[in-house]
Amino acid sequence: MTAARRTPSTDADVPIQRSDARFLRWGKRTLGLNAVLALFFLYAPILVLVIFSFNDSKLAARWEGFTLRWYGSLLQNESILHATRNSLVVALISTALATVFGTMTALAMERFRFRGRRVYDGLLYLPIINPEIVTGVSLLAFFSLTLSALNQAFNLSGDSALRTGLVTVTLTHIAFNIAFVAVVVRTTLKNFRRSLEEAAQDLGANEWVTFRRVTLPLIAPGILAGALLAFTLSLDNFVITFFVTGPGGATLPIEVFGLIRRAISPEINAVSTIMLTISVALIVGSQVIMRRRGVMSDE
Amino acid sequence: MEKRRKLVLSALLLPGALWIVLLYVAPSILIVIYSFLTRQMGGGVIWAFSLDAYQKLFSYNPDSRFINDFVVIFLRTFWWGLLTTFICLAVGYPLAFFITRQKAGTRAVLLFLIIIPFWTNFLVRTYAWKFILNNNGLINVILSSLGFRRIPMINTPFAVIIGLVYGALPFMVLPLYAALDNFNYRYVEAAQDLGASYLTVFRKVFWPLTLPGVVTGSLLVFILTIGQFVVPVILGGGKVSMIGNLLAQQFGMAFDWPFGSAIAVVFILLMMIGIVYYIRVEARKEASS
Amino acid sequence: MNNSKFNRFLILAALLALGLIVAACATPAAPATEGEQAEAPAEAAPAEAASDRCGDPSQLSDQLNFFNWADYIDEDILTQFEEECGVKVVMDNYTTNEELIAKIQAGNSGYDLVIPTDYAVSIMADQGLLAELDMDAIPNAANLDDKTMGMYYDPENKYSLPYQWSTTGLAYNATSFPDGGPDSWAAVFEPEQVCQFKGFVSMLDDPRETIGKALMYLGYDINESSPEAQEEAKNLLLAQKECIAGYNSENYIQNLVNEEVVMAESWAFAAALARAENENIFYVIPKEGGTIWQDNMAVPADAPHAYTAHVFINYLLDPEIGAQLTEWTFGFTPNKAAQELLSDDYHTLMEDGGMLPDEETFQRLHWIERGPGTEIFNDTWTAVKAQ
Repeated sequence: MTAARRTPSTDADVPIQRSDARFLRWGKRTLGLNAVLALFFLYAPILVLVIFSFNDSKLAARWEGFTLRWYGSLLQNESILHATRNSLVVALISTALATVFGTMTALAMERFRFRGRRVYDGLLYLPIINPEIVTGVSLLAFFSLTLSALNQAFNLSGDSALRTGLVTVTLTHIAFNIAFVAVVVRTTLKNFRRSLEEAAQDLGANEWVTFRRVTLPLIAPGILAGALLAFTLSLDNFVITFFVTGPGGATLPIEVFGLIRRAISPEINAVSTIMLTISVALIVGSQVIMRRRGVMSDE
Repeated sequence: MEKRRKLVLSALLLPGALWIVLLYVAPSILIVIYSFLTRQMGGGVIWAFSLDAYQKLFSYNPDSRFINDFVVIFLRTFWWGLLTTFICLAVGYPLAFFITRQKAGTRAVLLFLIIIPFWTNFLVRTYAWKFILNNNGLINVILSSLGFRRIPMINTPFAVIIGLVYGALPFMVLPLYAALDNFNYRYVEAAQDLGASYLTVFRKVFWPLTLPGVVTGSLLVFILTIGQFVVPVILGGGKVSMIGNLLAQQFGMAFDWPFGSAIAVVFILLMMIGIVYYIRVEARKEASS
Repeated sequence: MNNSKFNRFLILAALLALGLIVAACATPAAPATEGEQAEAPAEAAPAEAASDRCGDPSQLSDQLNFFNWADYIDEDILTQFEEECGVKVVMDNYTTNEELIAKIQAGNSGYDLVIPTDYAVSIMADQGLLAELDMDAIPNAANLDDKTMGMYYDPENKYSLPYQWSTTGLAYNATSFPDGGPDSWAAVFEPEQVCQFKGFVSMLDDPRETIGKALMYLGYDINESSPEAQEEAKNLLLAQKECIAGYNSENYIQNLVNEEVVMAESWAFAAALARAENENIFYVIPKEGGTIWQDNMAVPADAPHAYTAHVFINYLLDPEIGAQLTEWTFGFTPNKAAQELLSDDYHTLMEDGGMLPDEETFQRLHWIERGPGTEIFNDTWTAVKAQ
């Protein structure tokens, strides 16, 4: 069923006029060139930071010779490692939960008519349009009110008192990520052919089976795009996070922001390079496994 | 059956709504309240009603090119936002199209390749751009070693736009990818069978059907861009403000939380008007189809 | 088929990522957050190890939450304190006083020790955010130089003790000034002078500092808030704007080192840091005057580990630790006993670079004060940045 969707529209299918053929060739080349240039644009600064992670100078913008010492000192730098760990934990948890909740929200908004739908539709954009610093300040006030109420209610004080920290950071990241995931998944749902679902149901599949077998595979690209967005937003968020975190709850962006007064430490370049390498390895690794399994299942 | 539907609907809505209402709607109400209170030296607010913030925001300043300096900053921010959105769309649309035309495996790899640079740190990336664009930076060093004159790029609007586009590009590509990937190429074939040229097919079939992705991507890019305040500082030399800088100043050194809140309220209202309009149009389209 | 393949790919990638995170979490415990660390029996408490620099060990907590300016302490000091006294110091950073105030204002922040700059001390004390210091727990306060005590923001040092101080003046690269460095703010404010270095001069991104320098150059007081004076200062800044690289208080140290700018309104400690990497960098307090400022140690009113914070303050005021601190920050120490222990390298750098103010220069240094009427600086700043 899903295979039918992506029948490749090879050029041979259609009688082609000569001008169209030229247009097609030209178009394909332009597309490829655009992609190459865009990737170059995206990776130019990345290349710079990778190179600088091996530069034997703390401040200078010149090449002073190759060194691995930043990687060595990174392993000693507890605060950067700690912040990296915090960032990854928050990003993965908030992405996982926000992707589920955001997709659910998107389904509700696109598949149901209910009272207050339009109002909620607008409210869903609030996390996206609210300037970060405003979100940060207002959440700080909000958490301070609720947490002090809770502390009073349960008579907590000193070390046992509830305060802002990684938990509030994660809760906040989930909140804005839900909005982003929902918006992206809805894009997919809007272009969605309901006829496929109806066909499945006509064939006797119940709602759940229809969802799992038909809807989910079809909106998977949207969910993936949403999840990637969410992960990126969470990993990179500085302003809001600064306001809603607490003792020991610094994330990587906060750590980095503190370092730029003197210089972006080459250790930060080193940690970025390691994260890049792991991400790329992850992608390539899963591709390789996929290919191998693909070969096996073909046999 | 109706009851079951309701149950499903509430189950789908509840977690998202809980988060949004608790962590966004409630604090936003707080901001609206702040905007009508009195400023306090040292930050925070004094709980006494005041319209000072709004009066300041809409006061007339004869020295300024427009009503006052705040409006100038709003207009510049929106202009840069539009420019960035346009560039991102021009680059991102063909890029997303290119990706969706690849095999499943390549597709996923390309998608990840586009997002992975953004898993480094925002500041680190922006500083890397600074290194490239500096007076003694990569480009200028290459230019001068080839015997050309150096071009001042850093601390100009050009550098700011580069930084803004860089930061926003994936937010255009991902929604476009989501929209394009779901595209049914049968429509294109059908149109071609009817003898339509590629341009016509694009204009009449392709573009309209990918419009939701275009709208979402543009919205995300525009909104995220106009909220920026680090890029104009690092790549623009902090010479001119965007709304984000203005806000940061009010909640920071100026200790004027009510004024900052008022700016935010007006800003959010402006954006909401746009979004409500979009929702209306969408609703009308749905009703007609 | 394509899609199921695609989905499997996703699941696989997600699983791998999850494995990574589990591995990340499994690595040795991070400092406790969320106040989750229980009232652990004092097994870590250094019964015999405790030196006389640790106060009363029985009253010490296991952890101290330190909210400090970014990059403003040699982290070895924190490790030493942990080894010596058995207290884990968890440090978080801020980059402006306003961030600090907002966090403490919200209440129950969990921080035990903060480092507000002069004016921020009076703001926080006025709002009741700071605890009165118990001087009995800080015998090392006797090491402090009287000249750094009793400042306008805390006349009796009820809430704060000085941490480091420094000045704001002009840093320049001597290679661009073969006939001698600038001695007046005219070098940055007179268009024909600053435009000689078009795009290579930066000012601090701070309304009080930068408008203040314009006011001083015009012959006003640094805190002058009359609309006429502000208007004049605004016009001076606008005239200069076309020829400067920008307003920068974040990374101009790097810019100085890499000669992206040849002249910058600068903090003395920042100029010293730059000089340590590039010996062409010099610093001057121009004849019209400069700024003096001081950062201070203070304990929030709701600090969970106030006693430990006092002990740590006392530790930082120890002569040796004080010297170690200043060798790292390149600021000036308020600690007379530490002053004598500073290395020759430090002295040479500060004196040759022009950072160390002599008696005569001292007369030209002014404090920036916040008070009624000074809001106007922000409007002037907005106007400068709108154009």
